[in-house]
Amino acid sequence: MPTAPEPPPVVLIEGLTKRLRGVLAVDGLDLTVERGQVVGLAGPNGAGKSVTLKILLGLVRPTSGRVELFGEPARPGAPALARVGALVDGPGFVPHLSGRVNLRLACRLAHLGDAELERAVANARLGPAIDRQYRTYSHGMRYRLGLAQALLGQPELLILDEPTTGLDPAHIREIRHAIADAAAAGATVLFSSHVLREVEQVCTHAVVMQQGRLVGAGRVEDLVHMTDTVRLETDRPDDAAEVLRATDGITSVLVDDGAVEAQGPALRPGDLLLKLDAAGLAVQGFRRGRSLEEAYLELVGETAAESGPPEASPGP
Amino acid sequence: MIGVELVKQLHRPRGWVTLGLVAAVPIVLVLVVGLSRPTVAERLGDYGSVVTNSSGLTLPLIALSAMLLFLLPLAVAVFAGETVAGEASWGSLRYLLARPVPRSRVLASKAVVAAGFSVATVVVVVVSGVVGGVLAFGWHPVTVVDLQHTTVFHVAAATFSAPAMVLRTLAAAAFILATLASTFAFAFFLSTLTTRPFSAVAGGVGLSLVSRALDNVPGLHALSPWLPVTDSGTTAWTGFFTSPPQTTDVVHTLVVQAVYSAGFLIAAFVWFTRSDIVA
Amino acid sequence: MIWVEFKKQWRRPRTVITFAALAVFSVVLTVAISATGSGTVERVGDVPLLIVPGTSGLSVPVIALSSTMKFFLPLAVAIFAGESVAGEAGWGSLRYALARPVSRAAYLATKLFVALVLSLVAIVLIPVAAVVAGTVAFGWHHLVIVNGAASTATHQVVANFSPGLVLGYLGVATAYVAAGMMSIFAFSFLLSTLTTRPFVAVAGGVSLTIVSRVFNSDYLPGVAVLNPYMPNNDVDLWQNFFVRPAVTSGMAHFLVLQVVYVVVFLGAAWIWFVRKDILT
Repeated sequence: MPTAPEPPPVVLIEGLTKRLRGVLAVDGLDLTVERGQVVGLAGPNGAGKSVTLKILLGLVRPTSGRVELFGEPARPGAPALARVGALVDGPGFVPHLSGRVNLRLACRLAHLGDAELERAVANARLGPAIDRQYRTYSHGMRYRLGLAQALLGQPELLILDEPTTGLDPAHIREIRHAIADAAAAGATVLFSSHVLREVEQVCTHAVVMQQGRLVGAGRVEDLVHMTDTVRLETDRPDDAAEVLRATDGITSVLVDDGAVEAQGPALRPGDLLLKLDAAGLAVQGFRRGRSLEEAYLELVGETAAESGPPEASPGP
Repeated sequence: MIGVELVKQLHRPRGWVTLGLVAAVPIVLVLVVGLSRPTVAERLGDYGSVVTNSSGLTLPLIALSAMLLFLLPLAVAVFAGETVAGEASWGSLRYLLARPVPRSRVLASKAVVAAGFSVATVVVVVVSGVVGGVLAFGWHPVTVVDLQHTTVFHVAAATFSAPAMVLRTLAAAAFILATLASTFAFAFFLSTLTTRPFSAVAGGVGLSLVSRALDNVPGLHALSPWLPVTDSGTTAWTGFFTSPPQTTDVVHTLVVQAVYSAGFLIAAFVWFTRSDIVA
Repeated sequence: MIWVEFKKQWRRPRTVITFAALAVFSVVLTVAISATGSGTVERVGDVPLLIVPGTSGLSVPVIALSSTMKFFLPLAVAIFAGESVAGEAGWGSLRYALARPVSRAAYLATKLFVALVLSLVAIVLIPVAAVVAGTVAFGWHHLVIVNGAASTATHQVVANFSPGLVLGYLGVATAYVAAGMMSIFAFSFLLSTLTTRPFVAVAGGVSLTIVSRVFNSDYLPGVAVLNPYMPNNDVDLWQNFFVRPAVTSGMAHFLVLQVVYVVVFLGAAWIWFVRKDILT
């Protein structure tokens, strides 16, 4: 029986290069995003994250390389863009119109009906302010409206570029929930951030960029070495380190900052704790895996060391 | 798409203020003329002269003549220059473009709406002039003295009945719109290049001013037929008011406008569809 | 401080381009005239003066000054004046320039002086370049003024000026035109202290020139009464030097008008700048 052909990946980027104002903003990037993934694009300012997202949206033309959105080439006016919702470089609305009218215009352009408009208005959670002129909105209100517009029509792919910039913790949480809800409803999310804690919390996958290049990618679990690293805090780290080194299945032990980090395939932390207890060493704190920040710094640090002094970054 | 663009622009105070100001000018002229009661004929361009208060139907022409130098190009430049640059400055251009619609269509809808407003501007001047003029001075035939053929011995003049005058006035208004086309197209083109609407507007007005200034430099005569905005080009419509009508300048001006407008509009489309939207 | 300011403004692309454009204008004008008919009669200004350019290189500065005084020179002056303070504000360096033990009035005076010098250089550039280019093209001869209309075939010589005399007249005329630009200069300078966008100040100066033109009785009926008070209309009166008998009426009035405008605009600029909060 013939099997149905596999649907193409939501995003396919191969060898993407973009030269912007004489500087290589993106340099040979390869990236694939499959349906249902929540991918975090991490990297310092000037890493090329924004430019990559803009290329996906057809706003910027690649210098070379292959970029596909839902199996079709990404270009200005691509039909696939009907399935995409975006919030890039901050929200942008017509200042002298109200939030509601702005959303209504967006609905008309996307051929969506009143029901969808009402949903978006409810989504924005602006209360009576929805009928006030956009120019009177605070920073947080603008972002809410921008997110509501990105979610119009329940897009299959959500592209968010630094969606939490300048927002207070309550708003950040809202965005996180919105991303989680969209993912739960089956959407694919691609969002860029330089706040790694967010990426760690929300994403299933992470991609780390630096100076236009990919320096690390994979499932978040893998990047933080969730299953094969453990970090223990104890009063006598050197003694603990010795004990651990002697244990089977431990491939490396590092003492760092008063703590011991042990790595090995298929670690069983419970067993390690029992071993240390038997040796009379009390463990004060322990954590599985590293933080994404640590992993990221390692990735980014490695690359900087490899490639020598950094080139001028392409700017924000 | 045009509908959406229309909503955006109709709600702007800027559009209504411009139209309002433009409508006020003929009224002001009516008052000025009414108060000063000039019996000396007003000159219309190179061809003819009219007596202003012999008929209200001369008012639209006087108003158009007065506004040609600066106000009309300014209004047209405002409408054309605001379109794309305004959207870029609001930050909403990228969302307008990240959609399954070719960029050329987006640009076309903006051009159409801006052009509509420009046409409305001239229409408003004519209507306001006719209404104000007729109320003040009456609905009478107009006599236009043909300056080119008048000699000491003979005054060549043509008299137009009121309806004929209205018809010719409409033709003149249409021609004036055509002379504004190059300014419109240039401001529109600038609008795709910058994120500051003010620059696009200033550029449009600048084209008009620089072109006129060059036209007026004695010694640069050879250049004049090729300039987008010239004294003779913008007043060639006065040739409609002689009998028989003089149309050589009219045709030449229309061709020049067509070339410049096409050039700038094509440049705008090419740039817009190919450029990276980083704003 | 003046020296520092000069260094800042002198090398700017804006300054260089403006000077280059003005210098080139005279040259282009000369080339155009010699190419298309130096033998034909040119009508200069409203006086009107009728000159046959081919007869004397000194006709070129007369033409050049006449054609630039109504738009291009006000534009150049507006550029220099408008850039002065607003440019600093736009760069964000105004606050650092002022947070120093220097009075605001002194700062403003420095800016004013430098902008003024640049404007005067620009104004002088036109006739100087024109004299050079014109003499090279048509020779150092007497300037001949003819009568009749530009389109008639024969003309009678109405007046004849020796080159030295013409040069003298041109010197005075340039000074007169320069004085005439001062109202535009002062207005742009005032706007420069009010806005952070130099463009706005420049546009304001140009707009004042346009308004002045429009309120000229040629374009609008019934506004002739305002004509004597417009800042830029009588700047062409120097052309009367070349009429025989020479007429100089109206020039003194125009100069007084300029002084009034300058005092009002610069006074306002000073009062405002010394008091205002610098937020940019």
